[in-house]
Amino acid sequence: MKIQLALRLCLLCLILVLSACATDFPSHYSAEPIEATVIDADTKQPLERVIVTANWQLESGNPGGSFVVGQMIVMEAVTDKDGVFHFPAWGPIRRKEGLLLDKDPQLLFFKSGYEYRSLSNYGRSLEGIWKDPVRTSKWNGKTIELKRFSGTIAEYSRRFYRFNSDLEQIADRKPEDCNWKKLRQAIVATERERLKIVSQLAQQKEVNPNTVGSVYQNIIHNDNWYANKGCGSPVEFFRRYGP
Amino acid sequence: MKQNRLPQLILLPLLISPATLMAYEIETHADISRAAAQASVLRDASENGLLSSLGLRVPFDDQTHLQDFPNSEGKSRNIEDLIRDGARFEDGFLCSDTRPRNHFFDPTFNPSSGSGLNWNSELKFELGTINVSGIPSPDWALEDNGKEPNQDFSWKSAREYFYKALTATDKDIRNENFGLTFQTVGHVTHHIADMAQPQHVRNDPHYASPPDCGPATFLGKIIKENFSRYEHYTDSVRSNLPFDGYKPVNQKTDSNFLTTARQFWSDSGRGIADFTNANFVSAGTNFDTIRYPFPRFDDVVSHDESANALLQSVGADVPSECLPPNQPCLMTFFRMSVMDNYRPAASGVNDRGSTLSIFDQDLKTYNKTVSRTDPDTGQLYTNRDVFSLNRFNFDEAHKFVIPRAVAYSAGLIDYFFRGRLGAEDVELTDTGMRLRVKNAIDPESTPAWQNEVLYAVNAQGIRGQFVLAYEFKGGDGIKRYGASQPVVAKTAAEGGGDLPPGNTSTTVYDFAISLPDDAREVKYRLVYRGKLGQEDDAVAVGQVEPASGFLVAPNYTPVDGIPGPRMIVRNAGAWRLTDKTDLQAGNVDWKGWYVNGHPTEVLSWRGSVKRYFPTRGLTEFGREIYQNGELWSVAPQMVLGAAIAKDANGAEWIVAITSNSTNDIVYRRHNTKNLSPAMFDPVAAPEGWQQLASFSPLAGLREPDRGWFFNGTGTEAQTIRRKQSTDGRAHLTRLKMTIDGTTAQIVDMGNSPGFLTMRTTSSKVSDSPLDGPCRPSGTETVEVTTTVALSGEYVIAADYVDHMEILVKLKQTGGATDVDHITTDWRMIGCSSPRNIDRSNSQHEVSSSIDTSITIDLGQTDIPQQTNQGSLKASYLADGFTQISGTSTTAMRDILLVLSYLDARNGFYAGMRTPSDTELDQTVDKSQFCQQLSRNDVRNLDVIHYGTNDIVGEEHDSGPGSGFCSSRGSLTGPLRTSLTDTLIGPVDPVPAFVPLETRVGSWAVDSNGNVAVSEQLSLSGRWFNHLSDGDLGVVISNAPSDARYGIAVIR
Repeated sequence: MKIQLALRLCLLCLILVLSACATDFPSHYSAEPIEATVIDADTKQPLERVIVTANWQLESGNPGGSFVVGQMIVMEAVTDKDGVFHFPAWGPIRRKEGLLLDKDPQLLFFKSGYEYRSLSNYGRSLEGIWKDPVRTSKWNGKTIELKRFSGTIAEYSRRFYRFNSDLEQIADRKPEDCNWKKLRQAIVATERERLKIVSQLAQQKEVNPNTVGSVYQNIIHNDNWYANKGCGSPVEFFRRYGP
Repeated sequence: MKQNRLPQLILLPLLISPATLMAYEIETHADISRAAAQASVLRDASENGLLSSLGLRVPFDDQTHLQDFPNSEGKSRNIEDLIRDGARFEDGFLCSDTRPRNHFFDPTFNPSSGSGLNWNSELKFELGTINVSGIPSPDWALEDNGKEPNQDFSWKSAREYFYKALTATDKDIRNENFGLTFQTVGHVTHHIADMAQPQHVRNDPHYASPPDCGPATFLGKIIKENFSRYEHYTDSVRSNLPFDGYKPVNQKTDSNFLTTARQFWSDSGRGIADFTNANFVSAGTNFDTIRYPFPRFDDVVSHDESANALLQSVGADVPSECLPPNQPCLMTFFRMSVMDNYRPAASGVNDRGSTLSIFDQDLKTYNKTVSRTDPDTGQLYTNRDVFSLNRFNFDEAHKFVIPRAVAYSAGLIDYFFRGRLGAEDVELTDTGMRLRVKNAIDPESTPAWQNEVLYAVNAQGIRGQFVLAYEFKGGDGIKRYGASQPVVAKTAAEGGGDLPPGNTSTTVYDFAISLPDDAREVKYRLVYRGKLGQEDDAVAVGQVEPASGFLVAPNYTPVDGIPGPRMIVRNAGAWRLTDKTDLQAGNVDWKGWYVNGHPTEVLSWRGSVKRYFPTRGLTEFGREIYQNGELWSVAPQMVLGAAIAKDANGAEWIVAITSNSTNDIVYRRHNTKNLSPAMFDPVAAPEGWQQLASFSPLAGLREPDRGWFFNGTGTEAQTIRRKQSTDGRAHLTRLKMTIDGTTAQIVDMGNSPGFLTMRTTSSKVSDSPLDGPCRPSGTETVEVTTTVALSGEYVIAADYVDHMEILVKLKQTGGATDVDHITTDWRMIGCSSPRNIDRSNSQHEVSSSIDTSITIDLGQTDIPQQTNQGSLKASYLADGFTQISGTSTTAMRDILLVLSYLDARNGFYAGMRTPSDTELDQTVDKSQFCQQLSRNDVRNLDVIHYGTNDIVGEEHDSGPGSGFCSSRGSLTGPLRTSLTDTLIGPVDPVPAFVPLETRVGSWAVDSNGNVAVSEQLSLSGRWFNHLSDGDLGVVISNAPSDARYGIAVIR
């Protein structure tokens, strides 16, 4: 029994030594530029002023569970009159924790009155996906269609919830990275949209407009919490840009 | 057609790869838990819903931040987001966090206990075998088998947080613990969702991402390729996951119930882990292994589909080897039965339970020979096709497991919050509050909780305990919290005992509290901690409403700016205005199920403003029945009376006697809120009304025009009904209905015969010219003495206090003595025989000595209607008995009260008190004189007025001057009359037998006997407002000088 225990300890030591020597994980990540065009799915016409955010998400896990470590980089852009948006290349930047998988980046598209859409590099084989130190988006150079929303305002509200939820996930993990500041236009847009939805829902008494939230409201109502992370006061920040 | 696929089946068992397993990613967990919360009892934001019982006023998903609590990171969140956070946080944030290892549960194998609760997996790598083990998911999530290290977010923890939140007197501590309660509920539901992941219940470890920090880094590098495709794919389509489609478990319609938290995991095949384990393969436990007995490969049916078409349908590249001339490649899918042991009717078929093809789980081709060793047999297999699970399998699995993940999570949330308390006989004492505890779990609405007995002592011998928590606004308007010291639950030996659902303790509990005098908007909650059902340390909670309370609708807006009907309650010695709004109640009420002399149930409906006596017939009634301040039920016909009855099983029924204008129709339905008037139908309206009986009018009875009034247990009721006599006159009869379960009978009880007047007359004559010797002249004196004895009674209404019948009788007693002193001068013209006599100058002097009373007899209480005491004197000159001149009368009488409202249950009546010792001194002509006598004479019942009509009275035919006013009657002998015979008032239309004056106003008595009145004074037009030991204008401040109120009783 003691011999078996000793063998196990030796094995553990060996594992630790090997671990120290391991160099499988990239030490740096960088990304190539992304440029793509957003059009109306029905008219095929370019869509101007679509808010596009890009986040390169670092993930990690344990047997049986995963978590978001944070974001390598967060950016936002707005489409021009030709529906074009552009994210510059970045890096190499030293990687601290977590690995990039297929949200490298995740792209979120929001325009009032259209179906919110989120895209990533999903579909790529997961085998060794974290290895490549230079990340590219499969949407680079592509034309991305947004569909004008045709359902009820209540259904639109439920989709809008998803956009807020995704933004909050980016903003909240590692709040000390101040990612909410990097999503300024998107966050302000959520509040403007919330006010619009609430106004319309209020006319339909069967739907409680108070169930429509915005990431903006969540941040503003947690001003101290965010401020204590060393990024300054969101209230002060959005006073300059707010809705 | 060439098929890049080897012949199937004969290759089994095939290869084994390093074990991989899947779970949900954190946003998927958040979405599942959100959907569960929305399907759970948390969505009920009604006045009697869960949130209200917790003292929470805002819907759980409200985004206005009016009801935020901090999560464990200190961030303010609403309840929904707290649950989402818990679902997210359960996987941890650090590689060093081993929480996810405890997210596995294998109901098939459990080497340690044999009960099937374990995860213990071995990961193989080049250097040997490493054993990674975790605590079985329910052990970790529930901690029902003991405390686990570093676990602060278990069910057990949630109970602690919940109790603290409900009983904390410090606002920050309360908020912190509410936040932790809801977050921890999310942690626990995370496990339920994991149990809807095949890998988590089939001992199939996986990574969603390689760990990349701390000691776990190495492990991550070893098994870095063990991505869970299922989890990753599920997250990518989470916007379109089928969250709906499977109702939360423990529905009323279910035949199986989960009655412990652990049963939600596993319960003889009915738990969520049982379901997932037996019906689905996982990446590492596919059909190429023989580790699990189910699903059995022998039971599956294969079918081929074009891989090319499938790949193109999802925008994936078709590999070159599947293009011409080899096209198309095929995928063999295995169709499997999905057995649902919890709801067998929800069983189905999974068309794509597994895949055998050249494609791997990423839909990439192997394009090479694959070799794997079966871990169980050690045998090496080589093949080119491989069993895998891809997005097409996942889409099919989602249809089964996602709705169940939501349904079981919602059911678990419901189970967590199932403990509901009520209180009866709530009394405010000098030191606090005294009440009897009710286990308010309703097994009718949730049969799953029918055995959730509230035990006084748990299995460890620990006594349960109650705390009376309360919140209020102080004089400064700031909300504050308080709580009594815990009061130990009393055992049977101490006069207490265990309380099954719906039962109320016989013993009384006293709670000492401290409440400032200026406290307002006080809300009480009773909190229990102890054994509930099979859970040893549960928490139950419920609002405590003072046993009395009125719904008062002022004609002004109070200072707090909340218009409309408001509830006022009396507690801590003072009346207080609650902030409840949108309450409803009827003006006629039934009180029943008396305990210690106090009613514990109250129903109300719309009826006559005078309770027993009609004013506008059936037009006053409605079909609505109200309970606890809300519209509770709508009957098929006009409701004349209602009560709550209980059947032999203790189930509560609303029994209603209604009318369709001719028949009395008796219905019943379960005592649950339901606003549909539909009749019972086993499919379309299982909660509909059941008709017990329909009674057509008995012979001679007129149509109903007033209410039925039930006894305290809803088994007997009475009403008064007009009945037509053969002579066309109407009188009143009493109907009694008995209801026994599903049958009802009605009996005409008749009425008493009426009033009896005994009259005797004697006369004495002196100096009569007819007597004695012949004399020239003289003055004759005749003194006629009439004695009248009055007696009799007549039932005019019937009601009950609990089982005791109360008959309201009009009763007349007393008597009068009239002396008519007549002096007449006479002159004799000769002494012939017969004597010729000339009479002149006849004078009458009439005096009466009166002592009578008319009362309404309530059995133990008499309401004096009129007394006459004193004398009535009249003198006049009569000219040949044909003319009256110089007439005058003087009378004294007391009309004590003209009723405007009567509630016989409490002996409560309201009305106008007339001035006492009213003096009548008038000079009238004959016709007026007789009329005046008729109206004022003590022997008339003319005190009883209905508007401008006399309603009930004895027709006057006697008394002073009767000889001039009436030719009827005899001066001697008894005169027996019945009420119908002596009716004064219009016979057609049918007279209303109402001994009341109709007034504008409303009157109510609450369960503690408090009275509230708002009645318009007839003369001045001003309003008389009254509240027992209080002032409506003060309780509902901002009252103008013309303040008036609509008043109804809630309890």
